[in-house]
Amino acid sequence: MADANRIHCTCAHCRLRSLMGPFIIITVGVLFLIAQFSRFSFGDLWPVLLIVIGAVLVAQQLASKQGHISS
Amino acid sequence: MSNAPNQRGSIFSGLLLIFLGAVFLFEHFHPGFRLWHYFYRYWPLLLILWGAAKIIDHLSAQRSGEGKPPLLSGGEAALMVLVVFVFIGLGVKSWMMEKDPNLNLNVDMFSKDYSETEELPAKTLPANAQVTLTTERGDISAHTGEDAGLRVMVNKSASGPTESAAQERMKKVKVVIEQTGGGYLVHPVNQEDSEGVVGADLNVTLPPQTALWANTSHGNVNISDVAGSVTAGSSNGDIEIHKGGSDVSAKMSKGDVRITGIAGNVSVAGHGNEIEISDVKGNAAIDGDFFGPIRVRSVAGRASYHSQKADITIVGVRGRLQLDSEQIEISDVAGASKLNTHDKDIDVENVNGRLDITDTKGDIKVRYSQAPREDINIADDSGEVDITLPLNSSFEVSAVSQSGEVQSDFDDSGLKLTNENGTGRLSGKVGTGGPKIHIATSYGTIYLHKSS
Repeated sequence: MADANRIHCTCAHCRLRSLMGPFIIITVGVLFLIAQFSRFSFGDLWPVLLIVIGAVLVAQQLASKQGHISS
Repeated sequence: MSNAPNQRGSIFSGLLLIFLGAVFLFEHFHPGFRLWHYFYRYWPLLLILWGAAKIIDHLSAQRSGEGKPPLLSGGEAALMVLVVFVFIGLGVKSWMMEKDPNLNLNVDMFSKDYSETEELPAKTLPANAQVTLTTERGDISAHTGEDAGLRVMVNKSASGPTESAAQERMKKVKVVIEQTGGGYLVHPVNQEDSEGVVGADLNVTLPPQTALWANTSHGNVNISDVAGSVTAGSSNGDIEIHKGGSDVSAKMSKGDVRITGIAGNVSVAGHGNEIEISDVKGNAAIDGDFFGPIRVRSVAGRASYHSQKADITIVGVRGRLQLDSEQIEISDVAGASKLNTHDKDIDVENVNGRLDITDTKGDIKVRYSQAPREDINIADDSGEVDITLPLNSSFEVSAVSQSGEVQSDFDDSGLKLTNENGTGRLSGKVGTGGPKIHIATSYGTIYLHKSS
């Protein structure tokens, strides 16, 4: 993981990778929100989280690594 | 994941995660669908997915000039093992549910299930009334009592974080008996709330001579000793009907059906797993795709099965008809039998009437313990045909195996058997008179056996 003192790699691969966390948080938020307003509970919907993580992983691996700076 | 420069990771683990998520979602919303059954059959698709993912990895690595990811990384192997375990788990779960349908495996960390029972005041119905029972969630059981009273016991169940919260939900649900134009309607009101659906099992004692209509969206139906006609529906559970005095029909979307001892006609329609029908005085008709096994025993009228995979009509089943994804077995039929199917092995024993079999791929075995009296017609595409007839049979046979041979235990002078140029033919007469036997297959041996 890159820490604050290092230069962040900005290749598409690494950008998507750093988006994983936010994506997970947003999905969890959306699922709990759905649980508030519909008859589905979080217990019904959690597999959506797996699907989102999987989709981000696939997108990340398909993204170009051009200009990648290894840390 | 590899952090080495210029080496890509693979998309495979991402795809596996998407697959797992989809499986969990599907299983949750369609419990009882036997997803593991499909996995057992289609697991090689996982290998294809693996290969396809690796090709995509390879192509994208080539395009960007980076190193290829390994064929199977530790993480991916672990995920694959997880997928297999998930399906084994689903299989075990569905096996346990089958053993004990009331088992609740839906572990919810935050809430527990609570239930309470109440009895509605009995209501006296006129003779020959029509009673309709419906519930969104819950089992329905009904049987006939001794007097003209309609008695309803309600068992409500709800989940909640505390017992009082669950009781609050159950209190809002009221089961009412309404008089409608066509009869009486028993159903819960306010069953659906913001938390979901409150369960309401209906346990009903009916007056004699009642016609019954019962439907649940989520639960089992169990009906016994009803003299009038019965229509039962369950979109998510099993249906069991014992001893009916009139016609019985069952509609379902999944689950098993068991119907026994019916004086009228029986019809089963929809989709589901197992079917068992026995001791029917009228006709029995099954329409739809069922996983099977389907077992039909002792139907006095016409027994028929119609689905995308097979079309069967049998008149007077004294023995049984059994059918699953691999084969069809029929024994002791009083009348004519007609089977039209593909990719199934067929085993037929003692059909008194005319026998017609059409199959595409499958071995066909037919046995008669008495000399056949009616015509036999068998057409197969690739598969063996084996017919066993008693010694004293008289018949006229014409059998052709386009790319195979014909073998016969009967060697009467009236028979002509040739096996030339890869084509086997048998034609001619045995004894005097008797029915016509016509057998045709494209690939496979035809045997004509003599039983002692």
